[in-house]
Amino acid sequence: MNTAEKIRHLKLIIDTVDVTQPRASWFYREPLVGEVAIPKGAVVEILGNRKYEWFIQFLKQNPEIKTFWAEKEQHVLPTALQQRGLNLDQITFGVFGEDSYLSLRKVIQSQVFDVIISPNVFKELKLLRAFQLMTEKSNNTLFLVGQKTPSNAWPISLQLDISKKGKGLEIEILKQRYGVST
Amino acid sequence: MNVACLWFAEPTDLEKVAELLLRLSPQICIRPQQAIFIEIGKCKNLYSPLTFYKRILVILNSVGLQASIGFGQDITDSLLRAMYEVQDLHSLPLVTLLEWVDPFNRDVIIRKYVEKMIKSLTELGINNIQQFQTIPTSDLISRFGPSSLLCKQRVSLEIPIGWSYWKPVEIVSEKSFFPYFEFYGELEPILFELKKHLDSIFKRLWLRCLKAQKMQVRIYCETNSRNPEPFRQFDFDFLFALSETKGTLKIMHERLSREFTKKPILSPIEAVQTTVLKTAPGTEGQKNLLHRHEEISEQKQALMAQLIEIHGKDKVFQAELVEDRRPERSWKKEDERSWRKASDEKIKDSEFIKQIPLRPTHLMRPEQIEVTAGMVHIRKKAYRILQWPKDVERITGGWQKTPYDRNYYILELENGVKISVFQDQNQKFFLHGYFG
Repeated sequence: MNTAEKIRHLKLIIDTVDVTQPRASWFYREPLVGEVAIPKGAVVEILGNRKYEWFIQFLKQNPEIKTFWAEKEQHVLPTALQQRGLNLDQITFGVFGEDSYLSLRKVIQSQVFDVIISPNVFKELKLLRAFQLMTEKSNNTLFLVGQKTPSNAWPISLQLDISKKGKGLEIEILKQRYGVST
Repeated sequence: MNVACLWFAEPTDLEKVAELLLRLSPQICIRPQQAIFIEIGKCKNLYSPLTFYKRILVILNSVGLQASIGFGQDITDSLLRAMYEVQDLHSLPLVTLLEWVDPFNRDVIIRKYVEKMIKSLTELGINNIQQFQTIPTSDLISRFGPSSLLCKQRVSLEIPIGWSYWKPVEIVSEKSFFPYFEFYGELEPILFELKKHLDSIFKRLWLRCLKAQKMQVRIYCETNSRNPEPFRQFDFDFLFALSETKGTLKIMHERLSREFTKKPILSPIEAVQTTVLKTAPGTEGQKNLLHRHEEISEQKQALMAQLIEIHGKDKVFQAELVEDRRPERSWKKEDERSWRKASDEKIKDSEFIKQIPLRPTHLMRPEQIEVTAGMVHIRKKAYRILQWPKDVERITGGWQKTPYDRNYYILELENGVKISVFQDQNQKFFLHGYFG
C-alpha cells in the first residue's frame, strides 16, 4: 500500500471531511484579482504590508460580520476603521498581551463572533491544532496576522500575502485548503 | 396611643432599623431617611408604653443610632410629638402644617401650595396652629384654595392618613454546607455547589424579572484551627447584569482559581454562600421565538465580563468616536452606558469624520525621528521618501491647558510603507502611525 492509499484508507477510517470540497465561506471581491473565498470554521494567516487594509476591505464587503480584534498592545486606530466604512458597533477590541491563548479560546468557543483577528504569536503546533478544531466546531474564522515569513504549520488552511499594486491590492494565495478562488 | 414614631435628626438609612423593629409590630412604614412609624394599637397587652420604649432604646443602641420617640393617635400626631417633643400640638409653629398635610414628605406640589399659604399667613400675624384653627374655613378656601381646606381637616384629625406600603428588601441568597468530607482549596466541590446556587438564584430572579448586577461569594472555613482568615469573601460587580448560570460560573471560576493560587486556603472549607447584592431590571415578557438576539447578547455580555475579569476593565472594549482632530484623542473606549446606547445616537458618518483626512490604521506613541533631504531616519535606519506630500494637516488647540501645534504629513517610503509623521512647534519630527 503506497502513501496515498494509506492516507485514503485512514480518512475512511476516521470519517473526516473531504478537504477538497469547498465549505461555507465569506467572499472578498477585488476588481484586479477576482473573488477570494475565506472559509468559515478555519484558521487563516494573512501577511504582507497591506494586510490590515485588506482586512478592513474584507469586513466592509461583509458588513454582517461580528469581529473580535485582539492585539498584544493597542495600536489599531478605531477612527481609521470608521473612516474606511466599518461599523464600530460590530467590532470588539481586546488587548491581551503576550499570553492570549486562553482568552482567544474563550472568544472562539463563545460563538458570539464570526471573525477573530489576532497576532500570530503561536509557535506550538498543538495550539494551532486546537484553534483549528475550535474554529471548525464554532464555525468562525480565526485570522492570524503573520510576520514576514509564512508559517508552515499545517492547521492553517489559507495563507494570503497582501501587497499594494497600483491603487488596489494584490493578493497572493500562498496556501489554500478549502474554498474556491477565481 | 396607636402609633409610635422614631425621628432621626440626621439622615439615616432606615431600612435595616425598620427590619429590626419588625419584631415589635408587623405594620411599619418609613419616611425616607428621617422617620419610622410603628403601629402599636393592635398589640394590646403585649407590652406597655414603657417596655416598648425600653425595647426601642435597646434596638437603637445595638445599631449605634439615636432617635427621639413620640407616641400619638395617628401618624402625624406621633411624628410631631417626636419631632418637637411637646405635649400640646396646638402651640406648634405654623410651619408644622407641612408635616400635618404631608407626613411622608413625598408630595412636592401640595408642599409648594402650603408653603405659600404659611408665608402669607405669617405676614398676617398668624404664627401657630391654634391661631390657624380660629380662621373660618370659608375664608381660607376663598383665599388659599383646596390645600388650605386639607390643612384644616388634617389639623382637626378629620381625615386620616393612610399607611404607606413598606416591606423589607428581599435578599436572594443560597448556602451549602460540606459536612461529609474534608477539603481545602479544591475548586471542583465549590464550583459544583456554586452551580446549584446560581441555578436557583437565577430562577428566583427570573420570576421577579431581575438580573444580577453584583454578587458575593463567601467561603466559610473551619474556625477551630489557627487559620488567620476563616472567612473568604469575593465580590463580583459585573459589567453587565447577568441572568445565566453558565457565564456567571465561568467568571467565578476565573476569580476563585486566581485567588486560591495567590492565597491558598489553609483550613477545611465548611460552607459556601452566594448572595445577590444588587439587581438590575431584566427582560419582561415572553421570549421571542423568531430570533435569538437576547441569548446572543447575554452570551456576549458574559464573555466580556469573563475577559474583563482576566485582563482588566480597560483591556476589552468597544470604541466610540469623539470630535477631536488629534488622532490619539479621536476615539474613546465606550463606557457601560454607551454599550447600551442605541447605535443611532453615536457619531456615525458625521460631518466631522468626513472633514478629517484619512487616518493611519495603526497609531503608536509619538517617536522622535529625523527627516533630512529626501530621507527619513527611524531607529537609526534611513528610508528614502518616494514623494513629499503636498497637503499638510495642521492641528492646534489646547490653549487653556496644554497647547499643541502639529503639522501632519503622510509619507510614502521606498519599501512601500506609508507612515504618518508630525512636526511639533519646536520643528521636531515624530512618527505617529502607519498605514497597512
